[in-house]
Amino acid sequence: MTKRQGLRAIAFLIVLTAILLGCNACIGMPKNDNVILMTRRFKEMRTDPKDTWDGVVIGTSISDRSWAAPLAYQEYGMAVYPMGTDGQPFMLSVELLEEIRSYQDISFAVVELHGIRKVALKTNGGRIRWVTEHMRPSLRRLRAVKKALDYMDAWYPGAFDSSTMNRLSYYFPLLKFHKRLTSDEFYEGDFHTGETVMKGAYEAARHVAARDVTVTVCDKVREMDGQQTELLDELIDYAEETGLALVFYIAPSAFDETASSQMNGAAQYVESRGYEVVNFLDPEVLAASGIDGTTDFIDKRHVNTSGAYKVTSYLADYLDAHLEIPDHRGDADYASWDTAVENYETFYEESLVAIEEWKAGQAGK
Amino acid sequence: MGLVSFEFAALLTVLLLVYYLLPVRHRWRVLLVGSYLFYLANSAGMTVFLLVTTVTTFCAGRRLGRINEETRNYLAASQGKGARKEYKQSQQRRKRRVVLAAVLCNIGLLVALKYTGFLFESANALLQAIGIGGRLPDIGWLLPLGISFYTLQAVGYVIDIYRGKYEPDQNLAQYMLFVSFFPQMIQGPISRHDQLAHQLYEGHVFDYRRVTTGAQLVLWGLIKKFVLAERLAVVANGVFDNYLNYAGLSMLIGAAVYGVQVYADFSGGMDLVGGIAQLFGIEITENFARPYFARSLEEFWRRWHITLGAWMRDYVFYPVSLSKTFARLGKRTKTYFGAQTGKRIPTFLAMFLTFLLVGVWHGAEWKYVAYGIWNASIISSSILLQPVYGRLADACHIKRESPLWRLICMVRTFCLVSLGRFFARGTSLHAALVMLKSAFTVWNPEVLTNGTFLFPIGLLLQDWLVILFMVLLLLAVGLWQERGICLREVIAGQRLPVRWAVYVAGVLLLVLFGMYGPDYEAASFVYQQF
Repeated sequence: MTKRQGLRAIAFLIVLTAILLGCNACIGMPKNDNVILMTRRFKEMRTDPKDTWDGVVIGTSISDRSWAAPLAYQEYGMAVYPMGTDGQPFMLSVELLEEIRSYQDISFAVVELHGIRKVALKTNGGRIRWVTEHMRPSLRRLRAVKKALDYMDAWYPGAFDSSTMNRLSYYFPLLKFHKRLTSDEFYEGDFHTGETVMKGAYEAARHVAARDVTVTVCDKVREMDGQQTELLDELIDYAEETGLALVFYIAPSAFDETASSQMNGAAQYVESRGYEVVNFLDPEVLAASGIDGTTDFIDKRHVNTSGAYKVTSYLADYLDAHLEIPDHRGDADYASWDTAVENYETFYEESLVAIEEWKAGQAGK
Repeated sequence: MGLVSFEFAALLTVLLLVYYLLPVRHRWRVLLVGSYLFYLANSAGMTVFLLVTTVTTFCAGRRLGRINEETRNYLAASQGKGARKEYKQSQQRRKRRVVLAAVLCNIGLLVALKYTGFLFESANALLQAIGIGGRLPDIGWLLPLGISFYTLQAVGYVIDIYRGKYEPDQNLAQYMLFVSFFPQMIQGPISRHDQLAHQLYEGHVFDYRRVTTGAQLVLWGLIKKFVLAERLAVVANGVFDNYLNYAGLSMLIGAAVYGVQVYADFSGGMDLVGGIAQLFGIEITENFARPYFARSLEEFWRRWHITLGAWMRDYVFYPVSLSKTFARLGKRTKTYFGAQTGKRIPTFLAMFLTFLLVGVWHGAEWKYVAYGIWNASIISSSILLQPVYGRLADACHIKRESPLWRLICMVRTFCLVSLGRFFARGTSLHAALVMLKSAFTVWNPEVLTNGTFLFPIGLLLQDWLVILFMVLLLLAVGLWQERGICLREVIAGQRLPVRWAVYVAGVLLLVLFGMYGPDYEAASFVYQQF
């Protein structure tokens, strides 16, 4: 092989790799209605002026449905952004916070605890991808993928496709999602991500509907086992080592007693590590926040706009009382937050009307 | 570890690096280590069978070589004509004993491992049919990887030594490499010692052109496999595995689709094997020569799985048809049926035997017996009907070398081959017969338009468009090759941007439109099962 041939071969491989990486970046998981809001949140994390967020709320869909960021900003001027993803794997909390902190210098994270339930820990590929594929290509992302897959292999052997191809597809989504080119699985979000208009607050139309549920209040405490405490310890240790304040909360939900007792166990363990937990499954907190099972839920797991308003109000009060969070209202860097507040007010009013209509409809039946 | 796995890609990369880093004289050792690593990774418990075949055929080859040498020396020294003849005959008998022992040992091993279950099952059915109690045990032994390929390759070597075609290998380790060369373990080809062995042993210096050509061949093979064959497999599997749900034209489409699938799969696999070998500087025997351009079934079998056909021709058909028994048979049939027919009967009998073996080589099932008989019958009848076809063409005023007649012959051959596919791919002989009956007794062209077949079977419109594109591409490439144009050389003659664009397009075709990934089962090749 001549030097010329060698250089050409290397050049060709570089060009080919660049093209393939380009395809890999374009053809990833489908950006359907379910995913697009998550994508927009990650996008806004990068497009908002750097280091303008005070904190984030992380956790499963239970967290991101219950936190209306514009409301907290409107009341206290705090920029606390919801970075929950559906079924967010708890084992990726640290990596997610690291990713967020590489763009936004947050001083605290609000952690919703439903993701620590045993049933939630046994996650799936989609939920892992919703975190990892929203991370920018980096060593951190590689670490996150490896950690999640190794975790699943270690705790749930045989339950997860551990083939080399599947593992690689988390690093190179193209390996899995190239089939979308010959399927009908394309969405508007694949071509145009769009923007969030309410700083990540859940805005899907169905959110305005209400369901009549009974919040499960339970005295039983199911102690966290080693798998759960290991994850909580990892998160707390990381936060303490890196100077990140943590606030834990348990959003209102109407799961069964098993889930509620696990939440009580989680609260007990976190408190044993020296942290308070705002527990909306506690009757006193529930009453003080004004959560009403007949008007504030979409389903058994998630609050609706009305419920989110109440949870956010209560939690924002708590954050303001316990953390030193600057008031950014009137700051030019936070103009987009002001716009988000305006949008949220309209959205909230419309939602209340829809909920009233729904209630009237229920009464008429 | 299949040929299309990440593990294999890693092994191949390491082997290539070590191969070209070591001095040339040691390079064959890298191939040997790689071959046995590959075999152990795939079929560790069965390695003993590979070793038995290797050692027995090596020893037989050495023994035959010594006898050949003794004979040559004696004949060179001896003067007496009578003594020479007697000595030659005695040596021939010794050689025959050696070759017979080697062939029986290895073919016996193949038959025992591959066909005992089938023979016992058939015997049980027979015993039951004639009302005799008792039952032979059910046997379902695992087959050593590549046994159908390496056994024939090793037996062919012994017979060639017996025939004095070349000298035997003197180095067992090198011979082990010849029998176990890893790219061809999965699905062949069945190489000849005089074509392959010296290439394996001599080691090759890094040749940029050959390596890039090998890489292109690998890419082309993967495209055929993953973009076309895997898509068509959805249709073929759908029809053949659920044949009771389909009828009429669906059956015919299924058979035709399977024909294209198995071609793309097998020839794609061969391109992959050939490409990998080229990366090491080794040229492997071609196994395909655009079989669907064949104008007769006879020609088809000269273009399809060439190495198996050639093996059967050289080691079964010719020895049988030229044997004394068949010569005597020929004389007798000439007496009763006249010169032409009398001459044909032994030839046809030998052909039936050969195709029966070709059929049975594919597997131990009655459907493969039927597959062999089908092919032999069609070839025999087409030879007999040749004059009729000729008269038909004349009557229609079609010139026999005209493109139209060639096209008609090609389509006819494709149809005949496709009908044979019912036996090859049907889930059983019964299923094949049911499908054939349905194909010719149910007329339902509406399945093409009423949306009950093409899409519900599992492919979307986009998939069918990809299939259409690939079939046209294969057709175009085939046409060029038929005209003696090597597409790779044409591309290599283009300017750099054009070349790169073509290569990048090939990679993108594979990566974007291939049917692979975590949602698909790990792809194996159709001929791997044989």
